[in-house]
Amino acid sequence: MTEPVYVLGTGIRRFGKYTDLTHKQFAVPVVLEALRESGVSHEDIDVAYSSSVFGGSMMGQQIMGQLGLTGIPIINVEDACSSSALGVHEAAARIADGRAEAAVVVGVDMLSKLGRGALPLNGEDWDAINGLNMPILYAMRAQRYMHEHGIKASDLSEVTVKARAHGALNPLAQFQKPVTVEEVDASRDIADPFRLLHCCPTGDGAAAVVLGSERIMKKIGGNLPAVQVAGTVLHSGEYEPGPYSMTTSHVSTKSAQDLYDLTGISPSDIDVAEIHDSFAIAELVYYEAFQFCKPGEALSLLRSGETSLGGSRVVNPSGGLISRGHPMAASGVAQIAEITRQLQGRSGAHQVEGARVGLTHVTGGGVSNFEHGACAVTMLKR
Amino acid sequence: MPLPDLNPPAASTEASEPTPPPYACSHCSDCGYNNFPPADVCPNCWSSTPQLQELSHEGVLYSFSTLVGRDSSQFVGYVDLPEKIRVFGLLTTTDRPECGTPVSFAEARPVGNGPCFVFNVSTTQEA
Repeated sequence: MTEPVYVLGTGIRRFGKYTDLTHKQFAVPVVLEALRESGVSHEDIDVAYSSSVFGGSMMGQQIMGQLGLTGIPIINVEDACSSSALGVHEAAARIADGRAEAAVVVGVDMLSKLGRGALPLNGEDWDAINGLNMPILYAMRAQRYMHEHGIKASDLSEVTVKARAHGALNPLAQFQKPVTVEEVDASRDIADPFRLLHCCPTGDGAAAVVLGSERIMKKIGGNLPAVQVAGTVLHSGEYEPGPYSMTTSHVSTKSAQDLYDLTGISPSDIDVAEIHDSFAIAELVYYEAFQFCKPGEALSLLRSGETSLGGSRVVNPSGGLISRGHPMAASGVAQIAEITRQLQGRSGAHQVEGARVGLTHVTGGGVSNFEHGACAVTMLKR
Repeated sequence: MPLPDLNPPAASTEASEPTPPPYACSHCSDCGYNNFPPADVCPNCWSSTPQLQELSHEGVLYSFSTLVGRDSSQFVGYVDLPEKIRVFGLLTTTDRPECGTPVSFAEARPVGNGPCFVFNVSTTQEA
């Protein structure tokens, strides 16, 4: 980036089920929270990015109109679960290039309106036509990982136990009740080897951030410690109709390496990370993608406690997608809001003490012949 | 098992087709790239003349899971074929299979009710 970019404000609402609200009603207070926290005025905001996979067209106009942020470019972006992180990626680039001084980015989805069960994929896609959904896809990933590395289904439950333990300390998490391995293993079948508690919940959520240049940050002169967007990387997956490894995430590995190269920050520098644990196996696979451990050693890393609160490199202190919740388009920016607050030392009971460097990671999947459709990673530093 | 219709010059697969889709990939005679599901344009060289090519009946189960219904569940999985194509299919076994097990094509079913392609799982396990 040519010009430094900072997170000036964050807004996030507890994820859960809010069946009596519209997307707009749900998202507006969250954006307002981020705007107020940032200290910017109407005139400071040059551009708005909005993401909602299931909310309908022009959600950005729906939300920003309520806040008088109109007449500026309002850009609606969609890349499934990566959507709002893509918004941050683009907004940061715009500010870094000097084409904007400040931007607001929001993600909102209300999955409870879709009913229960696996989320619908694009109905024209071959995988979706054949009944393949995200739980089955990740379950096959888990089976292969178990085959290659000799771990058991109940080992995956330890990921959920950690996520729920963290979520229990986060008042914004959808699930705030700890669980045991036995409870995870006893939950109902979803897709072998997954039980219900190996999977992130469906729910409603919204999150927002305000990004700005150094000039506007100094002009506002806020009270919170400055958190810089050290770098962002976005990749689509490769189209691959043939065999490929499901245990080594190509797009996440590539995105992670590019982020390290871009920022000069190495895996050992990371204090805290929010990564895409949509299903329990994902956290283990992504430990390896981010070089937190060698291939096949993810379970040992988890069991070491290094990635739990109190450890030296805490992963998903918010509870992650499994416990904080995963309202698709809200997740990317929710992660960035979470890490920003962590680096500012205001995360309360789930604070990672002394955190100075953190990263976020979301993948958007669900397209035939793509390991993942998209992957967005963001590095933040204090 | 009826052979797929290999006559159509192009190979788009529509979700609304009442007949089983061809058990085939599209093969690009210009660059040799195989694509699945069959498509009218080769993504490798942009040739617009790929032809349908029947897929091998013998493959290897890369990984598997279950399609859980209200009263029962069925094994499903990714099958890797020699044409460097991976297809998702229903497995006829009621016993939990293993990754790496040989499988053979059994039948193609019309779209709209789960996996179109059905595979028998060998009782011989590979390493």
